[in-house]
This record gives sequence, structure tokens and C-alpha cells, in this order.
Amino acid sequence: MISRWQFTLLINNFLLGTTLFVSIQALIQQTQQHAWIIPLWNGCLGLIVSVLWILLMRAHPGKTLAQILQEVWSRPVGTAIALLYFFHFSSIAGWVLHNMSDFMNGTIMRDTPKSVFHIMFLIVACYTVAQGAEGMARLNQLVTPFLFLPFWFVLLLAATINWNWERFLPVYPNEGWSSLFGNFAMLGYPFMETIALTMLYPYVKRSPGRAMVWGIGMAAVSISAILFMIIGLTGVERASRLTFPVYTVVQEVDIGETIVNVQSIISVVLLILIFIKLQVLIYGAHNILQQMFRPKTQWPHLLALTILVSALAVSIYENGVQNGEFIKQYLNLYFSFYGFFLPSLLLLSTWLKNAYRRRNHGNQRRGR
Amino acid sequence: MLAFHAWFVPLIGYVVFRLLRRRLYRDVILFLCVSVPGYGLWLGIVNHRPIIITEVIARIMDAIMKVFGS
Amino acid sequence: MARHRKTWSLVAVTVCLSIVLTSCWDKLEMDELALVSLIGIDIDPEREITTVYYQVINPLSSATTQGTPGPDEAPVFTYQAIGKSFGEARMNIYKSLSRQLFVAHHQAIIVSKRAAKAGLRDLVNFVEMLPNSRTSTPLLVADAPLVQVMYSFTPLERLPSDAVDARLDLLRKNTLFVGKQIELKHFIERMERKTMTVHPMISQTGTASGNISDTSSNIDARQTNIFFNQGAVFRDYRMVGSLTAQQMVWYYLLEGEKGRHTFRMPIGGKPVTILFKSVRIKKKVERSPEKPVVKIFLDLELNSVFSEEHVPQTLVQARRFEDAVDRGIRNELHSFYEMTKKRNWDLLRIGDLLLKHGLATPENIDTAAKEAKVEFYVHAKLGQTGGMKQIYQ
Repeated sequence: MISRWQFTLLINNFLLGTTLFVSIQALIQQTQQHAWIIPLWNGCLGLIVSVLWILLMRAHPGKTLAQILQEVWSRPVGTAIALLYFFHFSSIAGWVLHNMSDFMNGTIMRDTPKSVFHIMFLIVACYTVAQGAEGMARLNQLVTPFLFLPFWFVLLLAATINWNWERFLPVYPNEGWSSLFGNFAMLGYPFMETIALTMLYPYVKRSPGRAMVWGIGMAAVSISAILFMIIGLTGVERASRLTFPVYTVVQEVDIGETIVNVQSIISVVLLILIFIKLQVLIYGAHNILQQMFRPKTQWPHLLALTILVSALAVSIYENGVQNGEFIKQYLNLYFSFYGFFLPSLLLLSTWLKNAYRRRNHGNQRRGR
Repeated sequence: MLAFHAWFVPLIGYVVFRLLRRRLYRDVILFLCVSVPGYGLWLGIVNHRPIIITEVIARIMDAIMKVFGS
Repeated sequence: MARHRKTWSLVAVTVCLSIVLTSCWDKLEMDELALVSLIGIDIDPEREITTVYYQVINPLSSATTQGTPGPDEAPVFTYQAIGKSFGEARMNIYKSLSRQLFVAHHQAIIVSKRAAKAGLRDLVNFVEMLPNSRTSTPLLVADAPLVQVMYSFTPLERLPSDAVDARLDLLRKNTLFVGKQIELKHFIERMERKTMTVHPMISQTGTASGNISDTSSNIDARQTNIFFNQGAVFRDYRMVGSLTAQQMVWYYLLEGEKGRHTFRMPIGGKPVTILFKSVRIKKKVERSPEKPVVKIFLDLELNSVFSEEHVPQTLVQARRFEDAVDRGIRNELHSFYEMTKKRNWDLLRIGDLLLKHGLATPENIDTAAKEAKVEFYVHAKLGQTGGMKQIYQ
């Protein structure tokens, strides 16, 4: 059983995961100095969708997403849809790994083959997942102060010398405020991915719904604050062109010519966040298999998952350009299918089933 | 190619062998069902012609959108 | 075998994991690295050749556990890489360099004058795209032939990059000939915002020497030394002109740089040397029916430590002293502004200011900047006096 605070932190770190270096450049390019508003707005929408998930989980207490699928829709249909979710979680895990290896290859370690990173991370993630949800949540709770404090310390250190308020002007957006609210760049990724956390929902001791809402809210505010810092520290012109603005911001910290080149701190923080995201996804995928088919062993399937996800990690997208195109055109729709469409169908089916059962039971009681 | 199979086949074979010895047939089938698609994808990678997943998804979504006429 | 299963499986796992010793791919040994301290860029626009100079630190030139170096050990070696573009030059360096280039600790980028005039956009793109480059190093322009600058030593400092770095720091604090925003990243931001910027220019006098014993045994520090006495003005990634050292002072004053400057001006008919420190600058824009008025308020603190010609004795004298300084500096600022207006340089960034206050649009920013009326208000206060309250007369 995991505590409420552990669940909140897990959701927060899950959402922060790869967002910190994948979507920043494109977002700043689109919305310029108002980019920090978008995570707050999309976070609100994400919160509304998460209410849907919370209602669904409350309608089936003690059951994970996979089990709900089997219960509401019959076993064959439920299993088929659960396999879809299995593929979804595995492919996001592959995506996360490819983003991470792109980052490592592009900054610090240029010669290491991608798959080495992927398999390294997967082996450790599988080991942690085999220990169960508690180990995962506890690890996350322990590690979070070591992520939060160095990251913000380094950013604020950079802010003491590089900050410039003029980078936020003009205050009035060129196309008007409505253009900002029509921007859903952050909706699908990362906020719709949080459905993976519903696999952990039943194991939370008390009020998991509130923890989920807190987690999503915290993450939205964190991402917004980080975007705010990036715009203030590098300015829109450069941040909209750099591939990894967070990394560049930290690279340029130069305090008294003594504290220089502190980007390695940020790299470690980012890697750990990615690992946490990967863990949760592997846990979700693995547990879907376990709950669908109930095999008697654990580690052979973790091995199979490693093979599958490491293959997905290399094949998931070709390069940064193709990835960007897919994200722009299809991502919101694709993730909303899994994050909004299917859960709402599930919820609807649950309500219909309950209403039907109540009417039937009512009829039976009246002796018809 | 040889190196790839030299890693893969013994690994899968060993696991299948151990599972079969304990007569866990359901586990074997599940294991093969997850690792064989992985093997298929890896074959593409090793041949430097990977099957790009997002492209496949994009094509599927385009086909679905065309069916719905939007 | 079955009894020691745990041990054997541990051994097997360890052997399998040895493949993930990724340091095997990306390991960097210190003595396989070429630590670059200074980078020089020259572009020949006619023949389309880019030459990049890397000044690599000689590790044997500093004291190591093996002993102290001989006096003739050169502290840096300059390597030259030629190619048709920066990327090609970067690859071609390995035709002559025996170690892996490590540019993360370089201290300045020097660009030749003809490269600056040709345009630095390619350089900027190249630097930003490289994963390990920082743009937080000063960008300087070389007035002398770049070959000469890169292949000569400087007196007093063993590493020319140290000479450059320390000099910029001192210049900024004590003279206002140099400002704070002279790094490559400031250059990029200004160019992208379509405003102008000024970067320091290096020149040389005397005979440059690439021989360390020549430099360190020559009493004449004018030989083989680099001098900062001009500024290169950039617009749209190209160098469009230069400012003299004195003009740089007014430029940086109006930029809001905090530093000191010693200036000789007539006070009460006599030339007096004053030392002033910029305290605060405020720019206000007032809308008026005909054209907007930009008022620049400058607060200075005066120090009479260098004023060996005249030290105010009474409060009245002090007030007159301050007023004279007010007037003198205001005139200087005004003539500087007129000079920039004549040359069509918006060095005071009036256009940007008007844009921010909504009095101009990106289309008419140039005409709006030219039509705006600029007024200077200088307020100098005598703060510290020197060691003497009264001079010998």
C-alpha cells in the first residue's frame, strides 16, 4: 500500500519526466513569451479529464484499469482493449527511452549506442517493478528532495546573473488572449499519459482521488514555473531554437568564474525523473499482463517486456523532425483516445450496467 | 545478424526451456507472445530498416479519419 | 553447481552487465584532451574559406608532479583549421591536432574584422548547435590581422586568454570602455531583437612574437601586447562601423553599465580631471501631441581623487563643480546621440523603448526612433574626495 503523499509525488515526477526537455522548444516557438501560461491551462483540462478517471476508479473500488476493463466489458473484449493499453504503455515507455537517449547522445555521451542506454534503464526498471508498487513509491519519495533541491538551486543560481524581465515584454500577446487558450500543445503529452497511474490507484491507502488531483496540479505549476525561468534566463529568441533549453540555461551559469559547467547536475536530475516515468509505465504494462493472464512466474515476462520495449525504443520514431511532426498532428488525438475516449466509454458502460442492474433488481424485488 | 541471433536465441531458448521444465504452459505462451513481436522489431533494427511505430500509428489514424469522412 | 546457484547467477549477471560500461564509448582521459583557451575565427568571403584558430593549453607548461617547467616551455599552442564551413574546419582540425578538442572551457572568441563585416550568423548557428559549446564567453573583434593576434604571446600573463579575460574585467570596472553584455549570447539576443550592439576590438602595436622567451624577456610591454581601444558596432549580424574608446564610454553609460571613468573636462575655464561612477539610469517616455519625448536621467557619483588640478573647498564650489560636470557630460551625451543619429545607428535603443511603450510598431520602428526627441538629464553628486583636501598651488 502506498501513502497519499507518495502517490502525489509519483504523479508529479511522472508528469515532469521527459516534458522538461521534449516539448519546451516547440512550445516557446509557438507562444513566445507567454509559453508559461500553456501548462497551467492544459493542466486545468488535464485535471478535468482526471476527474473522469477518478469517477471510474471510484465506481470499481479496489480494481486497477485492466481489471475494470474485464469486469465492465466481457473477458474477451476487455482483454483485447487491455492489450491495446499494454501496447500504449509499452510504446510510451519506448518513447521516453528514445527521448532520453537522444538527450544523452546530443549532450554528454555522444558515442554510446542508443540501445545501451535503453537496456540499462530497462533492467533497473524491471528489477524495481518486480519488487512491487511500494518499493517504487518509496524510492520516488526518497529521491524527490534530491531532485527538487539541486534543480531549483541551479536554476535560481543562474537567475541571479542572467535574469532579465524585459524578456517577458510585450505583455499583450500579438494574436490576443484567445490564441493562447486555443493552444492544446501540452494536453496529450504529458497530461493524458497520467492514465498509467490508474494501475496504481487501488493501492493507495486513503483518498487517492485527491492525491491525483494534487499531483497533476503540482506538476502543471512546476512545468509552468520552469518555462517561466527559461524564458527569463535565455529569452524567447534563443529558447525557441535550442533543442535543450534547460541544459543550455544551466551550461551558462558562471558565478565568480568558480561555479561553472554545472550542467552535469541537471543531467542527473533529468535522468532520474525519466527513470521514474519509465518505472511507472513498465509497472503498468507488466501488471496488465499479470492481471489479464495471471501467469505463475514474474521474471520471464519482465525479460520479454525488456526485449519488446527496447525494440520499441529504437523504432518508435525516426528522428527529432518526424517526432515533432507526429506530435503536432496526431498526438493529442491519439493520446486522448486512450486517456479520454476509452475511459469515458468505460464509465458510461459502468453507469448503464448499474442502472440496468438496479432496475432489474428493483423488478425482482417487486416479484416480477 | 549473427551476433544478434547468438544473443537472442539462447536467451529465449533458455527461458522457454526452464518454463517448460516446470510445465508452466501459460507462461510460455505469454512469454513468446510478448518476446516474438520484440524479435520482429529487433530484426528490423538490426537490418537498419526499423519499423517506425509512429508512422504506422499515423497511417492507421489517417485511415480511420478517412472512414469517418472528416 | 546447484548449490552455488546464487553465486553463479551473480557472476553471470555481472558478466552480462559489463556490456553496459558505457564509459568504454564515451570515456575521456585528461591527457587525451586538447583544452582550448581561445578561439579565433577568420572568414575569407571571396575564396569562401573559413579558418578557425584554436589556442590549446600546453599541460607541460604548468607545474606538475613531475617537476616545474622550463622557462622556454610555451604555455599555449595555436592550431589552425581550414575548411569551407565551420563544420568542415572543425573536422579538419584533426589533420594537425593530436588530441580531442575540448572547447567547453574557452574564455573568449576573437573574430577577424573581415569576418565581422561579412556577417556572423553562420558562426552563431554553428556554436549554438554544438552540444558542448557555451555562448557565455566574450565575443571580440580583432583590428590587427587575426593571424598575428593568435600567434603571439602577451607579457605578464602566460596564457593570452587570461590576459584577455582579466583585461576585460578591469576595463569594465575601472574605465567603462567595456561593458558586461559582450558575450556571444548577448550578441545573439540583440541581433534577434533587431537592435544594435557593440563589442570590444583588439589591436596590436609593435612586433608580435610567437616566442615565449622573446616576450618574457622584453621590458617593453608595448611589443607583443594586445590593446583594447575601439568598439565594433554590429547590426543584423554584420559589423557596420566602429566607435572610439571615448564613444564607447558614453555608449556604456547609456546602456546602464555600472563602472568608473576618469574624464578631463573644462570646469570654470580650466581643464579638470574628474572620476565619476555611474549610479543609476532611468529612461522615461512621454507622449506628446507631435512626437514622443524620451527623457534619460543619469545619476553619477563624483570622486575628486584624480582632480589634481582643482579640489572644491566650499559647498558653493562643490555645487559649481557638480553643475559643471552635469553640463559637460550632458553635452558629451548629446553629441554622441547626434553622431549615432547621423550614422543611422540606433545605439541608444530608442526604437526598442518606443516599441515597449506601444508608441511604435515593428514596421515603423526606424522612423519613430529618428523622429523621437531625446533629452538628457545628468545629476552628478560629489561623493568622495581624495587624500588631500587642498592641493598644492
